[in-house]
Amino acid sequence: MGKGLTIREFSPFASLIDDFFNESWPVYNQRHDVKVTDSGYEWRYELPGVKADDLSVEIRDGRLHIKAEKKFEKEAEGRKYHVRERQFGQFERSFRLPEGADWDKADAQLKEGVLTINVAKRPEEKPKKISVR
Amino acid sequence: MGDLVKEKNGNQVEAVTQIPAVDISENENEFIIEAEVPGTSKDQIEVELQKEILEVKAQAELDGAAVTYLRRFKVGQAVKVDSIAAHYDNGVLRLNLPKADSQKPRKITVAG
Repeated sequence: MGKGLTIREFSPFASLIDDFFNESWPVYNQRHDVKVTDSGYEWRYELPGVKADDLSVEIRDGRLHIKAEKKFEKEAEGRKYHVRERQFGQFERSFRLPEGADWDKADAQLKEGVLTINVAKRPEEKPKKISVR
Repeated sequence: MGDLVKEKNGNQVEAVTQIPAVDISENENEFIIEAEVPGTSKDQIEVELQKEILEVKAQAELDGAAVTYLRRFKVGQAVKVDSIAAHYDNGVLRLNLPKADSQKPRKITVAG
């Protein structure tokens, strides 16, 4: 049911996002944020209307893969539409996790149409001091 | 737009008003408005009908920035205003506006 709109996102965190983009997917618009704190990274995607069952978040080969499908409700079929601004279809993102991200400590939550993914940072290796005698 | 809101740490952030994307549809019995208002919650959504204007307003906080979703709809005589229902689920607000009886298709039995 998607309109097949393709959009490009602007990101000031190009190295963190490294999105790949496939024009052939029907992609709908959504906003997202990235936040880097001392303890980790947080990605937030607005996915209103996506159900938890239609969403998957995976970490594979050091990359984070997000796949979601916003389905057009069955009960909506047969309705007569006057305004149609919402977009439906598949949403897919994949990006390389930043170096130092500890993907064993990752957590994803979908709440009120917002997907939040947290990945902890690995503690930085402290430089080893060698005393000179 | 343009209102300044104090953040928890005392910084001033700009309060942003957003127009949510909506679908408006109808079936035999009702009109349905579905608005995308992610990141808010039931108690932060206000739906108000005054005269013939239905106003939908919701507050959300996205990374410390205050977002106000706002949209108004004109609702004519075609709606039973006392029976409007609202549901919020998965970031989508759905309003069901039952049609006034005069708007519903009527079956007329053929006598014979």
